[in-house]
Amino acid sequence: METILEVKNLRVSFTTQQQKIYAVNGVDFSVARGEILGIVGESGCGKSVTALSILGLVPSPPGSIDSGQVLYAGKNLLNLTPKQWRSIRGEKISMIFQDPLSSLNPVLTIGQQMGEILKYQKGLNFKERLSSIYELLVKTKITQPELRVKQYPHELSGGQRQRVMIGMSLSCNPDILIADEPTTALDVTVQANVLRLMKTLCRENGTALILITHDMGVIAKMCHRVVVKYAGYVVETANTKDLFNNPAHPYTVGLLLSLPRFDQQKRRLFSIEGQPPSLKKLPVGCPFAERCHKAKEICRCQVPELENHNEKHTVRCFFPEGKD
Amino acid sequence: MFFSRRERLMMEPQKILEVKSLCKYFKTNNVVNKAVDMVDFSIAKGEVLGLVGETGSGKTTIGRLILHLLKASSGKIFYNGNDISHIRGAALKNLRRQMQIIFQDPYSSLDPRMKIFSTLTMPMKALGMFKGKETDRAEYLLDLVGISSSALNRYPHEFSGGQRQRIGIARALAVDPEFIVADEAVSALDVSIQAQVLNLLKDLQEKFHLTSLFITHDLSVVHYMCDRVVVLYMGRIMEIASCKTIFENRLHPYSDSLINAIPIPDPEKEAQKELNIPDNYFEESYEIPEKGCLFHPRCPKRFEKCKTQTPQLINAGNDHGVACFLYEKG
Repeated sequence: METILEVKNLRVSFTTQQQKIYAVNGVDFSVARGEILGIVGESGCGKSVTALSILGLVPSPPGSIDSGQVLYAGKNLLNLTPKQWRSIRGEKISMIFQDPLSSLNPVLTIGQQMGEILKYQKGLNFKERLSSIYELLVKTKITQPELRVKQYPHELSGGQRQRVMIGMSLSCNPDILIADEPTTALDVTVQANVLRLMKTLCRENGTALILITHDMGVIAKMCHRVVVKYAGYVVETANTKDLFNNPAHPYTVGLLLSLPRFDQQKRRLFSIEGQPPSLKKLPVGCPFAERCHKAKEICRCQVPELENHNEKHTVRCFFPEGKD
Repeated sequence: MFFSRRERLMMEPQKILEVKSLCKYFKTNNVVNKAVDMVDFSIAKGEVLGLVGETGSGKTTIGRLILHLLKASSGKIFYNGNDISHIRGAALKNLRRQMQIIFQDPYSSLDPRMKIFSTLTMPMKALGMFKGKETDRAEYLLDLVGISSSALNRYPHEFSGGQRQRIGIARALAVDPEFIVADEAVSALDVSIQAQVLNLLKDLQEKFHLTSLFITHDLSVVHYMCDRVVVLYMGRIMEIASCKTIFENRLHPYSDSLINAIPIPDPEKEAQKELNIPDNYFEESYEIPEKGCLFHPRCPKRFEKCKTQTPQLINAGNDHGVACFLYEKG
């Protein structure tokens, strides 16, 4: 498959009054056309910052991209001028945020805000805009589109708002869609519908999807490939089936065992001791060493490299599972 | 002699809490919102009852009604056989000694200007318990939830989310209650921390023979924690049964769609589900129907009767209640 986006050795930091905080530490991954890539990790592991830096949305200052490249169709996006960015954002790469109520403009009707991108990116006139808005609303399975275009975001339910966001983000047929926890605020039945909708639309349009989530169930449902993050580092990447069947990093292993599962016999949950390190004071060695039952001397003084474990399976660990 | 929690449940089946026809209506701009409507259930001593449902199903409201943090519109609440629906003053204070709550959000449920010591000892002082032994008790509580006693002189902002939730649990246990309401106690936590707190809650339940009402939207957590489950939808009970029954032999179409909607962390099972569940299985509708079963606009199995009449909770055998016309006899 043709690679459409490649992130190479990306490092993003934020400067506070006291110190520099590394939110993203040497992240590498690539996405192919039509592929669904999942980025999974706990709060504060730098998932969202990774997504924001792909779109050049890291606020600077205090944020800065220290090194790395984001290659889209062979071009490094990080060197673009603001004008060049405008032709990328929304048109080639678009984004859906977690909370649709705060990402939609509360004083514009649904029709007005959906029309904006069609006006500025595609140059459509009023009539054309209206008909493409209806088309998008039907595509995202919103009932009564004639009524919805005149409504304000607060008059819609959470699921409908997220559908509007999806419709907006797909209005220019982008190559890449980044969805940052798109269903976390939704009820499970609505989540099931919204996820299915995203999957179908991306398949139809050949759009690559980068799905950021903390929910391993959503990963299993949606993704072809997974990137597991921990404390700003990528600790493991693999095909979804491979990751769930043969997790290699002790963190991934522990994470999968600590999920309560109703489809399995009840057993005491495994719990990873301790808590993730604060990004303000990352340890010298492997960031997971403190909580890892396999940790040896070397883990505490050196950060392991992301190395090939199996075919298409990389892991950042000196002593990965299944290789002793 | 040591008995497991299961065995004690068998031996002491007496009801510790019972709610009968409990209702809570909120009025806004002359629109009546039935947050809780004719809810009946009981909890046996030592039991963990799960209360599940989506946003707006009234689960938090029920928890607050039981604790007298809200006043019921009608209906009765019995605690150890006594009617507590209208108690106040000293009797209410005495009730607080026996019932406590763990809140969802560990960031807003602890007073940011109070040291952990004050947070833990205030309930004891307010109820006049453990006089002169407050400090010992506070240290003991922190030890129970796995936090070092140096925490006593620190403030909530110095702790992580998981630690704060542990402190919230310690605070709930401060007055040695026998009944605990846990309102989305682990929803705000990350997976690895959630597992720690769930195990802690389970251990404490066993250790102090606690009876709990466990409120959550996450059915996987219910499966792990609860003995019995109440499934709520728009303020009414749809199904009530043992945890095993809900997961293996559920009857109500709503319980079924709730459980089928949970993404299972297993790609093969998810792929299978994708094939088996039709595209329009999870219908969405946000209007509250004027008559008929509340769930009928979204129900894949609805028929004529569901649109006009409201099903009552009927006994489907073995302590299994379901409110659905599909299972009505005759």
